Amino acid sequence: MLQIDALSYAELRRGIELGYCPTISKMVREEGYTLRRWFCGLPSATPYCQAGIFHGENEGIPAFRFYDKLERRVITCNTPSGVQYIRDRIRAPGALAGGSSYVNLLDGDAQTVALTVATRERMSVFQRLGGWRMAMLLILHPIRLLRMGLQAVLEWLREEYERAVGELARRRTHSEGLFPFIRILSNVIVREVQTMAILLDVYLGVPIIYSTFMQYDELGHHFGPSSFQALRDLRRTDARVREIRRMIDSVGGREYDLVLLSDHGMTPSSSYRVLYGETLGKTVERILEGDAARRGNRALRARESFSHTSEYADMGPQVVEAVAQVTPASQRTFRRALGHFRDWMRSKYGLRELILPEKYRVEDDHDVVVTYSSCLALLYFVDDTKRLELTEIARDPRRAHLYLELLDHPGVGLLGTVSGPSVHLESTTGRAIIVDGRLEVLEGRNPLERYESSEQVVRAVEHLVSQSNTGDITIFGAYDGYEIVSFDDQIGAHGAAGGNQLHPFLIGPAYLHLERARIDDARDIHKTLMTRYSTAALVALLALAPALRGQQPARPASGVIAGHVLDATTSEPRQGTSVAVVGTPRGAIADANGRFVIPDVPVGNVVLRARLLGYKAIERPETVAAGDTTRIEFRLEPEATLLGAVRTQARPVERDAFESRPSVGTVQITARAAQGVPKFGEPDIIRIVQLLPGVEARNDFSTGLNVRGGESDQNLILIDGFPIYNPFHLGGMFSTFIDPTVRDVTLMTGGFPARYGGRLSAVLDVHSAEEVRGGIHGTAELSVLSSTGALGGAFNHGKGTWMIAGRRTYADKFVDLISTQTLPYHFRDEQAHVTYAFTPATKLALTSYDGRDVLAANSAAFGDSASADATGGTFLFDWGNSVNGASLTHLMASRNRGALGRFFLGDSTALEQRVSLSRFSTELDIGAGTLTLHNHVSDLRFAGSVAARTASHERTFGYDVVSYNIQYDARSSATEGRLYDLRQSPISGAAYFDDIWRASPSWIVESGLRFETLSRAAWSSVSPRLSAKYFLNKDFAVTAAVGRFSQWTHSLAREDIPVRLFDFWVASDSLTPVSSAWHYVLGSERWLTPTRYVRVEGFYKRYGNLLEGNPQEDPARHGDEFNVVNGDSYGADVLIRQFENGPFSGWISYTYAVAARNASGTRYFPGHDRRHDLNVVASWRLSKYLFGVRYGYATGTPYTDIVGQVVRRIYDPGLNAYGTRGSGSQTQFIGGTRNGARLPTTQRLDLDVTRQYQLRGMTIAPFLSVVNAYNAKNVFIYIFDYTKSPPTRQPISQFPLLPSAGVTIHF
Amino acid sequence: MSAALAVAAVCALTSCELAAVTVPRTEAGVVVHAVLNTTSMNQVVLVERTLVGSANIPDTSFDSTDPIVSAGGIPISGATVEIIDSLGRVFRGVEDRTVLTSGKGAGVYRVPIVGTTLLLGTRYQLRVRTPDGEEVTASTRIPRADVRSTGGLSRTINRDHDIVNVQWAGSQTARAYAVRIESPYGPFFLFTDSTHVRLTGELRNPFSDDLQRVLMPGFRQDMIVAAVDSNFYDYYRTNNDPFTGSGIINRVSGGIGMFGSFVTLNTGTLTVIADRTEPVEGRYRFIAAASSGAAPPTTDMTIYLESKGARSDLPNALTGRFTAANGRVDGIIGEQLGQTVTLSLLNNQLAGNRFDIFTGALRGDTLTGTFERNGGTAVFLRTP
Repeated sequence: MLQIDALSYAELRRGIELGYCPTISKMVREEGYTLRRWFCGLPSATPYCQAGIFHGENEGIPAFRFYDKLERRVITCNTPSGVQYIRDRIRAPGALAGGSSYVNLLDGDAQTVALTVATRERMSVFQRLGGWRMAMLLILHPIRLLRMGLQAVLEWLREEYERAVGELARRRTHSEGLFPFIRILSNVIVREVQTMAILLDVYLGVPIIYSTFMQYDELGHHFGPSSFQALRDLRRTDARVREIRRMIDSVGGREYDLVLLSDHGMTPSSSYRVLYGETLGKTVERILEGDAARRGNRALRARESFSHTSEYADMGPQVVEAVAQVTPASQRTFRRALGHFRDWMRSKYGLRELILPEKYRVEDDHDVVVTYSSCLALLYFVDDTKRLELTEIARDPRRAHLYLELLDHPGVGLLGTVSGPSVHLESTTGRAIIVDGRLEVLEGRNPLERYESSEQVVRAVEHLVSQSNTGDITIFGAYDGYEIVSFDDQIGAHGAAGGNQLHPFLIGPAYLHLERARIDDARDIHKTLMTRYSTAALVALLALAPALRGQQPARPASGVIAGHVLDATTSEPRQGTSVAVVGTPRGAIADANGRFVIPDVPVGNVVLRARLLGYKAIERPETVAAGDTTRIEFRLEPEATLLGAVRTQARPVERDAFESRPSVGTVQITARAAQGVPKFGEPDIIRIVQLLPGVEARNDFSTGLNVRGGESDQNLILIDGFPIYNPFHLGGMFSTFIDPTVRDVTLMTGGFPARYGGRLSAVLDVHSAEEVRGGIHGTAELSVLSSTGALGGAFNHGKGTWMIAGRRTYADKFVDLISTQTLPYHFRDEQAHVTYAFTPATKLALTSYDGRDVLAANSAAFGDSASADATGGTFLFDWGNSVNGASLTHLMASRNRGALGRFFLGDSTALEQRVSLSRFSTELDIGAGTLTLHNHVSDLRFAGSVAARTASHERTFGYDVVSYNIQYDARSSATEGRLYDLRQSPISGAAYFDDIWRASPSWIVESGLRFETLSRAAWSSVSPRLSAKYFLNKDFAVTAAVGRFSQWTHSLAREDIPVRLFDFWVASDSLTPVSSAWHYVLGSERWLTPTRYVRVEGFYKRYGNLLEGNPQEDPARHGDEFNVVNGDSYGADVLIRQFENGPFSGWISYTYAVAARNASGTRYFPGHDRRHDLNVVASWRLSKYLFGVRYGYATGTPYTDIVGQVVRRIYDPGLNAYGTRGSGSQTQFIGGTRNGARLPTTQRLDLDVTRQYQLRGMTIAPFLSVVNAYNAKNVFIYIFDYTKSPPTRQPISQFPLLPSAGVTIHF
Repeated sequence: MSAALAVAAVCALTSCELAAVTVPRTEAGVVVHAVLNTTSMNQVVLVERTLVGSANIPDTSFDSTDPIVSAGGIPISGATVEIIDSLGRVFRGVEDRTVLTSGKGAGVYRVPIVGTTLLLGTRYQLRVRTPDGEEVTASTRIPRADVRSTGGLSRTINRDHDIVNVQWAGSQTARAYAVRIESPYGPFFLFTDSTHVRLTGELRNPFSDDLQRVLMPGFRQDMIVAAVDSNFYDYYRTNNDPFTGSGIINRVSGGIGMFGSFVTLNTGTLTVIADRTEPVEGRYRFIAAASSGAAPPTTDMTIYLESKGARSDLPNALTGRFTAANGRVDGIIGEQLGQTVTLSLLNNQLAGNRFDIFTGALRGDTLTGTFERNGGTAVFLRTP
């Protein structure tokens, strides 16, 4: 428990709003901590409140300073003896038993105390300061010591500056002579030391710790509770809170509830002395003296008895003097210097500005003693040892005179006395009595009206005034509704009623339900909160007993925590978020819908931590009940996109994946990671995936992915888990994924789990973004190529989200505007994503995508002849994808299940059912129906899974059934002929089992079996999958994977064609075999820092029945569409990645791969056989700029050398001749050895800069990218010419230097 | 085709050509093109070399008497070309170059086998031996066709309404049937397994540069239907793609090329007409010469609107036919932009072979203009 002394609820809110308390703000606003106001009772002073909090007993503490008539002594709580006086009278046990107390007035029976004024057992000053424990803490932490020194100097300079400014501005500042040193002591040294002590305690697992940060109180008194100085200092206290939280996080097994509170508040005040030119004591003395003049010796006597020097005033010089005295006499010069310093200090700070010392020395001859504690004063008639009632005061004219004079004094707002069983209150405007908490106005107006006359205040005033050692007259400083008169020279006051001084704050974990508790006094804090921890401490001690006896404690009951993780600003689910139960090995990774389930969580209070790269980590306390499911929602706050010096320690999700599953060959790229990567025209997530290890791009014109030697049609590409067949535009230059709709992508380059099937090489899962903010928000992207718009929002109180997006290229329109020529090509994409949570456990997600490429024109539009323009025919190339899918997920709570049920359903169960219809179609129409090529693939898919989680297993049973409808035909409506017609409608079925088994702290094994069958082909197979990870230490693991994979939908593409517009797809059947592959992966992964790792993986893949398009296929025959080849690939890839937690991020990837194929006994290397591929990607965030760079270096890919040309003669049967009647002839190339030559190495440097502006709630980010910045001459293909002698070979380049620009607007 | 288009598209958008370098010459091969045609007087075999950089190939206009040299080839002269029938009879070819007085026809060998004497359903062998000792062999089996005729396909076709519906008797030994229609922008041909074909007036020629229509109003277009063997069929349906230099189905041993069979099943001429609804359409007769000069090359033209311009500022396309002074009927292609009409009078109905060009203005039914080559101003009157 951390107490911020005197910080009222209202001022805390102000500090939060002004940004002085970021940690506290985060706790309250994001992490579910409860912030409430409470009523501290009267007096609103630390001794009263702390006694109530610690012991539930605070009777007999009527003020910070009060008088003991019997002992005839003033009790003041800024002296050890005064506090000890209070401590000695407390009988109730303290709540800090077994714990620690730091910087408190009372010890609360803490076992460890430091900087605590009073303890049950007497302690030496050294012990009170913390003893050797604190000394060692200081000595053993030289960095903190050095920081303290520097901060002390800064604090002194700050004090001097503020004082000077205050004096120049004639501001009411009241710097006590020693205040600068007190300020240094409290604001620097004490705060640093107490923080160290708390950190150590947390590390050691001390069950309860209570510490007071008193700095705000000091500054508030001297500068005002709302002053810049006081509020600004909260920032440093807040930083300490953050530091303590971090320590709580970083040590395992410490399940702390962090409670923040203040003991009372503070109200702005004016100094009585300043206002009226005398102190209250002087006023009393003057009144009594005046009365004495009238009454002679019968008058009461009082004498201003305060000391003219603060008890602290000379402490600094005395310390210096002490140092001088212990300095050896031989060092006279040093001693003289110290002497001068002492004199200077005494002269400068000793009595420069007098602040009244707030204390009285009581002499035997005094009849009246006035003690004042800030805005509360107590007047004692010490000539009578008993407590006087109002009637007794009134009976004595001298006392009555004093009473009435005080009543009339403008600096006094309220006089309280005891009147029989009631309390009598009187002000100049009226009087009232309080009996049993009820106030009755006797005359005039309610005297408590200005101070607040709520039931709580009335009861508190009654309690205060009626205490036995309260003054015979209780005096409240006059209060005007804003400022209260303080009898001390203070700008901020507390002790009485009026303003915020009675209303401190309380912050605690939500599960404590502090908001429900009725707190009418500090004692109620003890009752409702402290006893919980004193009991817990006791339980903790008792819990040690079985262990001490060598007995194994019984396995505690457990519960389940389930929930989902959302982006706080967009409400999109955040897949991959690591949710961990702090201090336990329990945790889970959020799935594609942001859902997670953590089974087998020990019952009781736990702290959950949610982390995701690019987001601020969240911690939230929760209470887990046995056999029940606790549902929770995390909303992650994105880290600022353009950061300066701010750094976050959030762990990347890969780290959690590293710790929780084998994750062989898996890499995730978030939209944030993609921001800094240079763009070609516009952002494209697939182009970024090409830069990852194991992935090779054929050339600049291809977004196809060749993963570890595989063909580009061997990748299972998913959008929100639904397959998409040909996600490319314009031959692969762009992917179909609209940038603002992409949340992240996950790439699995090999050995992927059993839940994935139907492809041989890799899985690429693209997840849609979701907009969870209410209203309508969107993104607009304008680039040189296209315009993109996305809109989205949340509805029904955040239960549902929607997002729609569209993109279209507009180069065709632009050319139409400026030219008579045409550019007859455009592509467009539309996407919609809707989610709705019917209940916290049941969520529906819908994804719809449709995109088309259209290349349509009159072919004659490109000719030179005007007449040909009119006679020319049209052609249409139209191709694209559509995906419509729905998923319904449901999380089931744990129930009492038998062994079998536990095996299949676990402690918690996630059910998922998916249905989707994916289509890809191509239409090539040459000459308005003269020749039409058509390919259509539809994939109607039903899939589902049951994921059962236990403490050590995560078992998934799943299925998918796919009904394909494939048409591949060539026809001519103009000839009414059908040249080719293939129709297939196979059905594939798969059932799988996957088990992630945490076998031991060192071993994680994921095993699975996938049974697959395909109708029409009479084929079925069982594919085993196995991957494992062995931890050599917590940062270093070795991984291995093996698995068999099958593919029965095939592209008719050939590997030796460097680019293609799209693929034609057909399925395996009785004539076309199913392809298969075995993966063998061995690797290791080492985390160098929490945000940087190195991964090395070697791989070997063996293929069977690979299919490549047969260029000589006979349209009249079915079954010759493919040539069957076998092959293998092997190599290794390396990834060094720095995550996006600072200004620098990026990765270095290197891939060595050899791919080979065997066809008809001939071994050749396919066109994507790139041996070495190096990519360096880096981004640098500098203020509002984001700089990106990408450098790629790769060895050349194979190509078939052209060895000559042949003139093909067109036969004219009518003339029995060749090349006549316009039939012409064709010159075609003759190839040499298949892929027998290699293109030269390629290299490319891309640069990008983005600037971010904020304008009227919008974020505008223009960018400029340069692709191939130094215009490297990378060869795309060669064009040979053997009609010349000697023959020539002309290279056609890949991307030359291409600048592009655009702007992204978020609103 | 899509791959080539893709490459063309991406290169046009973002690529650039780099400096060309020379590469070593390679070993030249022998290329043979030979088709046994049952309707021809002799069988033509072209023998040439692959292009390997051994010589600069000039860019010359096509000469049908010298089809190899004038179309970018390197002929092989002095070769021994023999066709052997199934009875073992050997027919040796004679190179045109050796018999033509012009000396043209290098590499063109005519084998003296009259088409009608070819033995249908039997296998023929081709053997070519070059002077350098290279030997190329191939064989073909001539489809057997029991029913053959000529002229049976002739008919008048209104392109706007009619369908060219053609049927023929099947051949069990034919690999496929070839349908060929001559058009001004080059021949249209297709292979089919069926024994009938229905062609609409919308049919476009995918082998022409601008996908023009096959049937042009005003033209008389020869049509032929034939049975072909697998060599002919496979050779012409496949191509070497530009990246790998492979794809053609080549069944010639020792070289590249084709030795195929072509059995004509029926022929005919399609007289193509269309509805005449536009002002410019109609039959124009010469009525007067407005100035002195030679007589116009034609006194009778029939004009059709082939298609309208894509925009108002682009010309309409015209087609038609004309009758020359000597009675020859040939084709017209032209354009109309506003009142201005330009007509190209063609030779052999080929768009690329223009006989004369008429440029005139159409006012009412009167078309007045001049012929570029043959005369001064002429006035034509449109008649219904």
